[in-house]
Amino acid sequence: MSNLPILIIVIPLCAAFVISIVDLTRVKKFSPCLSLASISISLGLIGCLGPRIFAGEQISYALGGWQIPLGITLLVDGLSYFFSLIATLLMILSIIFSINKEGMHHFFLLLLYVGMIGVIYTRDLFNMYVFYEILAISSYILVVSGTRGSLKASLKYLFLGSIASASFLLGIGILYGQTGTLNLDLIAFRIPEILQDNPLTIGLVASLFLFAFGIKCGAFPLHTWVPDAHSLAPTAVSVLLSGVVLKIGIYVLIRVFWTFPYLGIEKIIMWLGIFSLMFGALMALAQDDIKRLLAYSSISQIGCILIGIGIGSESGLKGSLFHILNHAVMKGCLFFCAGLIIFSTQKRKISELKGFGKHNPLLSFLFILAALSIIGIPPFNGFVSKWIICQGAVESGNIFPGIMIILASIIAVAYYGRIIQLFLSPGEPFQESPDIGYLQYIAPCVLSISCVLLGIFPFLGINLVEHAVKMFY
Amino acid sequence: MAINISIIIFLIGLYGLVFKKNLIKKVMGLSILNSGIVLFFVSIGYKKDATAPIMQEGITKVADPLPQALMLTTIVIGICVTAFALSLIVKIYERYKTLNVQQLIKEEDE
Repeated sequence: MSNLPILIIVIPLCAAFVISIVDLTRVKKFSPCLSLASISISLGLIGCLGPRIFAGEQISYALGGWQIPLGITLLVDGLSYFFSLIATLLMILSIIFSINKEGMHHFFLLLLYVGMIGVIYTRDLFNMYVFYEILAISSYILVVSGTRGSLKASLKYLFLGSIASASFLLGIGILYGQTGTLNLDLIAFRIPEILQDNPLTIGLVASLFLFAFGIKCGAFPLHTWVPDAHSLAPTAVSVLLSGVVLKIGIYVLIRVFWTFPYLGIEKIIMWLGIFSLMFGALMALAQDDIKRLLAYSSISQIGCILIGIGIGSESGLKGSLFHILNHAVMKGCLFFCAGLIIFSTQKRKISELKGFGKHNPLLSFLFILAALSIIGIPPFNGFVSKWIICQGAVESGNIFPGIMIILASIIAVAYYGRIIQLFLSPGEPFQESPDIGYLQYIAPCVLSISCVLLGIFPFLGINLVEHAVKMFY
Repeated sequence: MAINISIIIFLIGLYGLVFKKNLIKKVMGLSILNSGIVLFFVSIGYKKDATAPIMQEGITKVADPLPQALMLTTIVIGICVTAFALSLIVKIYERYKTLNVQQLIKEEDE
């Protein structure tokens, strides 16, 4: 029972390497089932941890039995439980969606999952870096298997991701030189002394970390890899990149900066958020490629989340965490729908999709539902979390970011409204298209139903978020 | 001293990665960047005339062996990233017949 956290990581890892062997044999058609099974086991184990987390317990596991000053510990608390739940659920849907793909695709999906859960659970900074690299390398590889210019997109992602990892590692090095430890708990314990003696060094570390995670989570001046990688990757990978990989950057940001509260960093995060919010929204207006538009919309929503974190109050953080959940659900649904639309019509341009509503009513309905939700129309979930962030902003006296969120939502009406209008207007009938399997409808259907459920019963998500926030305030 | 040199190497690598136009040179910059970090970590753990307290008793001047252990991992990761980047570049050259970044940006994909 006590070694559940490590099993959640190790089982998909073993399954990944079994898949890479099975893929060479004659029974390779079973490899997708194997990957689905291993992730389901992980979900089951995470479910087993649930009651203990909700009772306010923190589950820690020392790797190899080496206790804190020497060894690496894994820790499952409210925050990491919340993120691992999002990652696992989205990963299961992506695997179901790409069930027809070959074994190697599933191999890298599982490695991506291992990297994500590792980053989320570990308490050791260097271990976090290693898991982050596993995550990053497998996502570079997954991006390549997409369409057309994906080679260039992947290379761009690789260069920027490597700069981010390098500055993260340099920050870790400086921090290790100062504190003599890599464990986040011990660092938090020793930071106040060092902040008194040597505030500049801690400032340098903080700025290196902010730079690294700014690239990883796609905040405005460092976002350039996001539109290419998201729009050119295969559909299931776009969903994971936008739904989870960006959020892991934000998770590490929250984790590290709440470990050593360096003065003034919240303000910088908030301004980064405001700039990404407006930039993403304005660039999305100018796009004609449907997946590229969704990618810029992701940057905009990341801005919204960063604002919530930068406010620094409890309701701000609560709103951002809830928005992370909602954005994973909404943007997942939108990317799945966009992928299916491109698959069935062979067209990526929004202007060529006129009359799609008549061609495939179910898919357009799901798309429109998620689009309304991401704009922030009341009965859906996007409204609730944006409302909480705005409320938090106004309560803490930051009126300007609140206004900006509302303004960005209005711009979102413009760019999503254009797609909805084209879908609903009459147009030329489309050519005979390849049929979409029933299995591929599962993921967008589940996600859009959860959009509505989380909108009508927001306490479902807010309960989860409250357990995550409790440890900070 | 070693720390200063490592920072200079890091910056040289960053310069190569950001400003060079040729993709192979960019990857070389990436490798140099990684070497800078490796040197930085190793120099943190260095102390004159000291040894690591492993398998021996009676060592009075103790050096920290942990950074070197960490750097083994970093070097391996660096090799993986470099290998993957180079294989991507081979594919890019096969398709676009150029390694120049500015020409690559102009290339349309159809």
